[in-house]
Amino acid sequence: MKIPWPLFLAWKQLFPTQRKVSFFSLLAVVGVALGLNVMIVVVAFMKGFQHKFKEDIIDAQGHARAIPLSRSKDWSKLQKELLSRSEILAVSPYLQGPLLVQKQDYQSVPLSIGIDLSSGPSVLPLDEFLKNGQQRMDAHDAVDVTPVPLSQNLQDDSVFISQYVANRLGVRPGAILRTGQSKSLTDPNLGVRVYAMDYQVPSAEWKLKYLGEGEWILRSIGLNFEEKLRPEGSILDAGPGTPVFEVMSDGMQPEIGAESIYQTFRSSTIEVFSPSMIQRAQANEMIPPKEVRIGGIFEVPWQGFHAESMIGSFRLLEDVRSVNGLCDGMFIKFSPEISTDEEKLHALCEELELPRSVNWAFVPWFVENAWFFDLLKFEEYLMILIMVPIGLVAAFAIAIALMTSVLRKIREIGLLVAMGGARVSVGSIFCLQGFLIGLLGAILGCGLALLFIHYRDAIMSFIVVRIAGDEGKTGVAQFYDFYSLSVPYPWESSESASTFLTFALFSILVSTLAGLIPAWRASRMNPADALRNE
Amino acid sequence: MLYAMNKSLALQASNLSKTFRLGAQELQVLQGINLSLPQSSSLSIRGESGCGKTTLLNLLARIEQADQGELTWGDRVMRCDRSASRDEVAHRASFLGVVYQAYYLIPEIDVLENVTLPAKISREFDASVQDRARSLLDQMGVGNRITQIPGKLSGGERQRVAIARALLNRPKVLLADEPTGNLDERTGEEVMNLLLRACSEEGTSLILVTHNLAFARATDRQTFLSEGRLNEV
Repeated sequence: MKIPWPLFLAWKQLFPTQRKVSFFSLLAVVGVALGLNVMIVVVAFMKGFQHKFKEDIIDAQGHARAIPLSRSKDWSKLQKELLSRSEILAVSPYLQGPLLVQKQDYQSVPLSIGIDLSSGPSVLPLDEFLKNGQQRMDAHDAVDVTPVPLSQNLQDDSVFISQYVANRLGVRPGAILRTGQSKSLTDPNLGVRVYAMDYQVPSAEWKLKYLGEGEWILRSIGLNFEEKLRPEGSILDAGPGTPVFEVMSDGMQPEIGAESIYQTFRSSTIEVFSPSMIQRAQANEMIPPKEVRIGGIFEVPWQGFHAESMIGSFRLLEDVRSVNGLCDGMFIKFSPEISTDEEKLHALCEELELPRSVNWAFVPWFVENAWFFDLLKFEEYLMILIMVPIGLVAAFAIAIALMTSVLRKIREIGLLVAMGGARVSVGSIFCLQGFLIGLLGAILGCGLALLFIHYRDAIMSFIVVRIAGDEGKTGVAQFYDFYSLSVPYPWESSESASTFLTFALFSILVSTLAGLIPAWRASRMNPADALRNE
Repeated sequence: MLYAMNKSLALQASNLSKTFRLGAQELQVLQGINLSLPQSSSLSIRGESGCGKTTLLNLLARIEQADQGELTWGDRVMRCDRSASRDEVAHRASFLGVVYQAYYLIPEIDVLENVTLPAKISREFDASVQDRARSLLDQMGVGNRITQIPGKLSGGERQRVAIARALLNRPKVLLADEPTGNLDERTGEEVMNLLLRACSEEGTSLILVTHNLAFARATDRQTFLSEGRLNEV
């Protein structure tokens, strides 16, 4: 292949024969690569945050909310109408408002959401929220084996509360500790584990013993309870108010007489008052509060979801607030074809509003939280604005180095013209050096960015441990959850590919432009004067 | 003396003048130079330092603009009071070879790459060019140094490489500006013999600028530049 001679000389000046690389080339390429790496990584992380917040928001409030603009009782009709559309997967009504909750002398006023028990879990990932909110107890000679509460724990006489409310009131959901276990049951293939525990399990000591031939016995001496059990599938369930166990037999039988001993702690109760109940109490009317049990503690990753909050059943809030037949809105979940395309989602919401524009507003998640995403976008642009001058500083350094090279090579420039080289071609040697530095820097920078994205958790952990130590790492990760940050590779997302491509082209362009002034200077040089240069 | 155009002439200069302006001061270094160089012949130019020998070579190579005069490369006639056109620059790559006192080899590329560079510039680079470059380097006695970079060669070796480079495109005319000026007497003599022999074998006309009388005498014609005028000796 015939390489144009200016490109050949540009390459050779950067990577001379018999030397692997010149010091200037190495510094220039690494400089461009580091600058590009920083730009790509910062923007990729910002987009990762945007993506994570988007998922968190959708988890917390669905793809859109239908909000009644006036009090009306036609929501169930609308719910059916919406569900009849193929683009809508689930619709769940909710009631929402502040309630006063109390445990002895401790009080809290959480924002309370009442969700429909049948349709709510199909819109809100309650099990995920409960998993996030679970905390383990530390106990001497005992292991906290409390399973993550299930969304089925939410009934008309139970609630899920946020950690903030739990801490304020000093309440907790039910817990179960394992205080003893036969050695043969510690084998992960033969052991038993607590599968589920509903909020009605009382405080007691439980013994689960293997009787042989697949039969178990569950006893609670304090409760005067005893029941022989055989696993259904792998589940040992003695009915409501008892812990449910899972047997991991793996085709083998445990030793006869092997047993596990557990201690359960009943979930706390709290009293719930509505504002109207308080008003009536102030008028000396005796209204008994509603007593409910704590079914679980939840944590919603989206910070916009109130920290002081409570989730109860729709009927519980209806009952406490005495608002029969009304709802404060409906969470809507759309099919992936609509939910992944913001334009389509927006258009569909507008279409849904049209025939009932007076009564209902349909608000997509990105409209409701536009302020937040505008803020993130602003932050992203600000970062770019700060980083672009850093890239330009690298370009200035390249320009100065190339200009020095022109001054050092004045007689060679004269010679090339004397040998018949066109001035433009001679000048382009320096411009091409800038281009090559930019190109190699872009390749290396993209590679570094890919490595950074691949090892982001390890790198962030390393930095966080250096700053906050091993203990502080958990706290930092709770506030700044980089572990769950999704940063796609360019081959996984067109947005990521566009980020890589845009910044790589920017680096190449800026480096090439940095070579333009030296190139112009070289091309304007009089060859005779250049050859006379001492 | 003005020479009439002749088919057998490789290069002809008519009435070339050059004045350098240093502020208000004017220094006329060349006054109405006439010169003709038949094909496959050689001509030497001697003169005191600063008399304008290199300037004359620059005018003949069209890398410097004259005040007036006309220049003919083979059958191409050019006015010298304007800078070289793109076409003339491109033609220079194949018509002229230039050898300088200071060699001017490109330090980042090896000997073979330096020698083949004129072919790359004139876009005549192909597989045969490498063979010719090797043959010229063998002829110059540096065939065993083709993979070396210029920094590892002696002064004499560098000048041999520079001569091979100047001859690569089979130029009609070779301009040599004090090619032995940086070399010791013995090496200079060797290099000069190689240069004259190569030009003779290649059929290339030679204009040699030198201070050395013996080298000047080795050319077909000797001239002396003094007070801006070129006189045949």
